[in-house]
Amino acid sequence: MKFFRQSPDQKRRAALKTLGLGAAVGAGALASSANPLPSIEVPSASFEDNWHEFFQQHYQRMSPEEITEALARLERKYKAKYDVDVHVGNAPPLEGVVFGYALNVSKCQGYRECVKGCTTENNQTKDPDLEYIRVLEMEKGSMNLEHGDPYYGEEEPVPKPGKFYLPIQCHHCENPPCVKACPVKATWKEPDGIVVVDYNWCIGCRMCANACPYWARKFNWHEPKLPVEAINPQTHYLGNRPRFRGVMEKCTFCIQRTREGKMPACQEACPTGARVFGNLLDPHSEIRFVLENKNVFRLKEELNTEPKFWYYSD
Amino acid sequence: MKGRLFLLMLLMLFPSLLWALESSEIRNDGDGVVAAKQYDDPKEAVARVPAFVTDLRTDKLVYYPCENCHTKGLIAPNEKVRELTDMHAEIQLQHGGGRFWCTTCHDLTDRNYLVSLKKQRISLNDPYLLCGQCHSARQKDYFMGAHGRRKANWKGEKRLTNCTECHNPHAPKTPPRIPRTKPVARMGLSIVPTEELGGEKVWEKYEEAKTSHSESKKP
Repeated sequence: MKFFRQSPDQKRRAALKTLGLGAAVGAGALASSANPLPSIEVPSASFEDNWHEFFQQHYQRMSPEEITEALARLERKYKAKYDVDVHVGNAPPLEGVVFGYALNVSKCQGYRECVKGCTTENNQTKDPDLEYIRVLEMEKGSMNLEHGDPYYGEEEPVPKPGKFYLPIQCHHCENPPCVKACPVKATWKEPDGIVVVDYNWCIGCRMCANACPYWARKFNWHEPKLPVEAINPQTHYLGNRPRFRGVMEKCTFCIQRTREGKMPACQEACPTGARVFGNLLDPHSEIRFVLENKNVFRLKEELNTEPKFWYYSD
Repeated sequence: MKGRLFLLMLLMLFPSLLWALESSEIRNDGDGVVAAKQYDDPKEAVARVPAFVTDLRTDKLVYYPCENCHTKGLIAPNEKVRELTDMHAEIQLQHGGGRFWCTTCHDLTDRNYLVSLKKQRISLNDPYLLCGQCHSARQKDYFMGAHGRRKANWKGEKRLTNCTECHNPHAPKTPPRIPRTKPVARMGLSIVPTEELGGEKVWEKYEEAKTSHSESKKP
C-alpha cells in the first residue's frame, strides 16, 4: 500500500527540505568549507545525503522515485562508510506467495550452524554477535521455554543425552503483536507474510521487543561493529542492509534471498536438513506436505499470534 | 431442492449406497504417493512424486570407476564374507548390524553399479532408490520434502541432497559433534548460569510462602 497523494504534512516536509538545503548550501559557500555540518555517525557521507535522509518518508509512503533516490543515497552512504559497493535492492513481494517455515525438532542436533549462516548473511553487528536465532537446549519431555538454555557450551559435543534442541527466530506471525505495539508504524507485515522494519523510520523505543513473545527482536545498543570483510553486499532495503545505532532489527526470512526464489541462509547452513521453507499457497510445496502430513505445533499458540513458523517431529 | 430431499431419503432408506461410494474410493489408488510398498522396479518410486534432480555423485567418489580394479580382471569377484585387509579397510560396515555384506547393495558382476534386493541395477548417482527399499517412509518424506534438504531455491528446479551427502551408507548414524560458539551477552552484561543463582525459582518461593501462610493461619 502506498500513498502517492501529497498530504499537507508531506508538502510541509518538502518545503522544509528545499529551504533548509538552500540555506545549507549558502552557508557552505560562505564558509567555503567542504563539510559545514559534519555528521557524527558517518563522517564522510555528504551533507546533502544526510539532510535528505533526515527528511526521508516512511517506506510505504514514498513514491517509486523517492525510493530509488533513497536506495542510491544508502548505497553512497555505505560506500563512504565501509568503502564497499553495497547493492541495496527493494524487490517487491511475489504474487501468490506467502512464506512459511517448518523445523523438524527430531532432526535438529543443536549444532548452531543456522546461527552462523544467519550472521554471515545478514550484516549484523559483530563481536559480540547479534544473533536472530536462539537455539534452546531443552530437557526431553518438557516444553517450558523459560527453562530452555540458549547458552549451552561449545566444549561438549551435541546432542547431549536427554536433551533436545529448539531453535527460535522470528515467527512472522499472521497476527503480529510487535506491529501493533509500534507507535510509529515502522514495522509491518508485507503481503508475502514477512514482518519487516523500516530502519530509517524506527525511533528505537523497543516497544516491539516488549510485545514479541518469541524474543525475536534485537536492538542495536551501540554503533554496529561490522568489519569490511564481513559485509554481504547483496542487501534489501527492508532486510540485511547495514543498520545503525538505536534501531530494532530481526529475522526477515532473508528477504533479499527469498524474494528472488532462493532459500534463507539458515536453511542453507543447516547440515541436518531439519529446516523446510516454502510457499504456503503452493499446494505442491514441501512446506505444505509437512503441514498436511506431520505432527506440527507452534509455540505459544494460546496467544493467538498465528505464527507462520511450525515445528514438527517424525 | 426436491432433488436433494430425494437423495437424502434414498440414503436414509438404503444406507448401503453410501457404503458403496466409500468403499469404491478406498479401492481407488488415486494419484497420491503409495508408501511402504516393495516395488518390482525401484524406479517406480519416483514415478509419482514431484520431479527433482540430484547432484552427480560419481564425480566425488575416490575409487570410481570401480571397474578399474573389479571387472577388468584384476580381482576375481568374491562373495564370501571376510575381513577386508588389502583395500577398503577403512570401511566399517555398521549398517544393518551384521546382516549385510558388500554385495547386498553393490553389484557383484558390475561394480560400477549398485543393486536392488530384486537384482536390478541402480546407478551410484541414485542411492535414494536403493535406501528406499527398506526406508520407504523416509524415502517418501525425502521425495515430498520432509526429509533431506532442498538446495539453493524454494521455487524453480528442485535440487535435493542425496542420501549419501549426509549419511555414510556404511555407518549411517551421525556421530555427535562440537557445536558452534555460544551467544555472548551484550556489552556490559553477563550471563549467570541458573545453577549459580542457587537454584531458587520464583514459583517455588511462591509455593513455600503459600504453605507457610496457610499453616500460620491454622490454630
